[in-house]
Amino acid sequence: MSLKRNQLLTSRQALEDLNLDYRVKSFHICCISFTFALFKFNLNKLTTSLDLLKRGEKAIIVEFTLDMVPLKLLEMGCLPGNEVELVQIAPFKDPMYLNINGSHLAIRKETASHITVEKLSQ
Amino acid sequence: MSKQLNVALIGNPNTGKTSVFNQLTGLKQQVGNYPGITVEKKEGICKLPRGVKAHILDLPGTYSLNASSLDENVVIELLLNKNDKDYPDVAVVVSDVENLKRNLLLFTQIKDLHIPTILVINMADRMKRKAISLDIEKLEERLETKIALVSSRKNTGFDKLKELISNYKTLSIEPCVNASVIAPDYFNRLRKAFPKQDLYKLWLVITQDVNFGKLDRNEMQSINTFQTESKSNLKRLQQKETIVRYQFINGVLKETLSIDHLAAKDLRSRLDRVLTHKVWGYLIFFAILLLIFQAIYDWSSYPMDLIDEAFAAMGEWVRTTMPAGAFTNLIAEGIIPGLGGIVIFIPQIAFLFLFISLLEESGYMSRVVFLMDRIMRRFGLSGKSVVPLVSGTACAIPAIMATRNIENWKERLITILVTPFTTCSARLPVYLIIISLVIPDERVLYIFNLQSLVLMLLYLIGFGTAILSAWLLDRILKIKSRTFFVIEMPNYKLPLFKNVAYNVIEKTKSFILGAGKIILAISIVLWVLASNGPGDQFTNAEENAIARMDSGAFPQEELDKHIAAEKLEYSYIGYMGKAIEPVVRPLGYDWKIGIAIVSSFAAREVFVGTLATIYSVGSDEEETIKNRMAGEVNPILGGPLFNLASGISLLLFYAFAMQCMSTLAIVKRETNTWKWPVLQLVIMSGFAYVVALVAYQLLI
Ligand SMILES: Nc1nc2c(ncn2[C@@H]2O[C@H](COP(=O)(O)OP(=O)(O)OP(=O)(O)O)[C@@H](O)[C@H]2O)c(=O)[nH]1
Ligand SMILES: [Mg+2]
Repeated sequence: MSLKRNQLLTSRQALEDLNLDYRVKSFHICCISFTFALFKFNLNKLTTSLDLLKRGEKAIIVEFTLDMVPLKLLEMGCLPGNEVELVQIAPFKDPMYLNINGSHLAIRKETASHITVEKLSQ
Repeated sequence: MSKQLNVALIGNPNTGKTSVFNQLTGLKQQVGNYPGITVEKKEGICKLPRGVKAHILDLPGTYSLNASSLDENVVIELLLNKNDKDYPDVAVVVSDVENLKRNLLLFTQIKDLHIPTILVINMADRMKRKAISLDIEKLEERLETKIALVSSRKNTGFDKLKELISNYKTLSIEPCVNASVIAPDYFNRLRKAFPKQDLYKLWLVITQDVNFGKLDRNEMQSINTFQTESKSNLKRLQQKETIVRYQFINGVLKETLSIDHLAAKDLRSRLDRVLTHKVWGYLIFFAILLLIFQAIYDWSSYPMDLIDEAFAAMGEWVRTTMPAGAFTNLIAEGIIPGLGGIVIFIPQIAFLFLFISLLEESGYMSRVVFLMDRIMRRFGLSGKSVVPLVSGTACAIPAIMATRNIENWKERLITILVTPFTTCSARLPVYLIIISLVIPDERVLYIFNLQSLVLMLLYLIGFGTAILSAWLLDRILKIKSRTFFVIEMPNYKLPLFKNVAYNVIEKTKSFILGAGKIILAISIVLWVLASNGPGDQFTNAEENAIARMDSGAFPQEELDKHIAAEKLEYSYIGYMGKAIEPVVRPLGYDWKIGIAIVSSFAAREVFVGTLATIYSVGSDEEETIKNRMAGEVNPILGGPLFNLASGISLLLFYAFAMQCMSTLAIVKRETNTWKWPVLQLVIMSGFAYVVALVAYQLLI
């Protein structure tokens, strides 16, 4: 709750800087905080990067930065649409032991951070 | 008809290519449950039906025809070079029934090269357990190939495979997925430019970063002009290719393969929960290491004592039963003690190989790589460097070869450079004999033997130095290379007794034979040098000794000893030793140890044999090597020559010095320059000298 109020306050301040009429402002505040909330919802619940997954969680690979992900990984099954499960993590979450589409393999966190996934609800 | 039938075994790492190879050829190449056991080509002959002989090639595993490390490169170089004498008439793609989807990617690529291809589906024995069922006929039809379902462990399906190989001419060479669909225009242009060439081969040559040694240079040049596409565009196309291939494979497998996923959930996840755990994983790993040291030290001491005594008795037997003379002396004083100096270590070395082999065969090694990657990276190494460092405790030579699956050149180079610091089995004899002489045999904390703790400490010093020097090298070496790291985590497997036993026997045998040859040669040379001498001093040694000692006052036994010592001192080896002595004296050694050190620059394990030979020339009784060494007196300070100070100094010298010709030769081969082996030799040995010097001067 308090978090939302803070967001509201900061966005209100930002708008006051723009010197807008108060009513317009309040309408804007509503809109902005709404989109903000929607965005956050998206970020938390659905898409995230692979290195933010928790142990035991499953997700679907959405996309990745092609230049940062080695071809070998793609060939081992890390392709958009495939399912990935985080089997185990070493200390500091690095490296990460994954089950991608039936292939069990470990990659470094750095590589994982370039892979966007969509979490599957448990 | 003179041309032989070439068969190449190709497949993903760890699918059992070498196991299939061993079944076909009856050879015993090393097998292990770790991706990257085979790192070079291995050849063998297989008898096919109707008297045909096939030349079988075992290759390193690769995930695809796009190489990302050196071992994978071997396969691609072979397949792209039609002029290679080993270029396959038929490719046998070995796949693992549990990873069929991933394994088929490579299969479709090879089919694209228009090579007659057979698909082997290995590990059929695991299908029942994992509730996997396959429609082989349909699979054959969809993949346009012939399939042999085999189990190398149970030796089933090989007759069919041999039959298929001998009928290779009937195989279809049509591709099952056409790579050109990913960019029809581009591929059309390629086809027009090089109508004679295989299209997919051209594509591979264009997209590879790697150097294709034997491929026609001119051809390459003209292809380079085709690299109009930017790098990232090419990679996008490669991604597209991979997706297209997987789409095809998924479609095929949907019709032909069924897996009961519940049955597949198994032991693996339960074991992994513990063995790769943040805390338990590390504890278990260290407990295993501790167990290995305990085994090497404590358990193998009984057979060792037996061997030691047996050799002493054998020398005595030769001396008493064979006619006296130079030849008998050579055998009794030169060869038998020299060989005894190495044979005595068979139990320990076998134990070491046994444990390493068990770690590899069970699938645990990959878990260690996973656990250690982060830590190793701090020091400029890769998690995969753990395997060379651990197997380096057996021998640095295979360990250095095992670095070939490290993708990053800098990490690989550093691993190669520091691996010789790990305590290899050749150091073991030196350590053991010196520890048993200078470290008291006591128990600490009721369970640990003090001597085995010191041994463990020496191993830790080896690892520690390896890792610290890796850290230094990481700072010093200015090599830019992007890190990436992917390692497959294989299924756990119950180690196959036969594989482990072969491994232990073969490796111990080759260690003993390899070392035996050098030791035999060196001990003969040493014996000749030690029992002959220039000038009167040597020939008159007996009279001189008697004269000097005012005979009569001493018992005959004492007198004999002095005569022998005097003789040795004025022999050729004595003179040579004296020349070295000033260099080794500050470290607390006498000239005999000096000779032993110099001769062990050929190979470390020569040390004990050398001392044994030198000492036995100087004495007549039946004695074990250890007792002889214990009886040596420091010529200047008096007291035992092997005391705590000189002992520790020797241990440290052997821990750091680079004393192995074969390792230097391998480093040269793997790095392609003499620069690195020469640096290793100079820096490691120099460092060893300084450390040994400091240790002796502090302790004395
Ligand atoms: N259950 C079972 N295990 C097998 C079979 N064939 C091989 N293995 C095991 O699979 C593992 C890998 O075998 P290797 O023959 O070394 O495989 P490879 O393909 O040569 O591996 P790399 O040389 O590392 O690429 C070993 O642990 C073998 O014991 C089989 O038919 N059944
Ligand atoms: Mg192999």
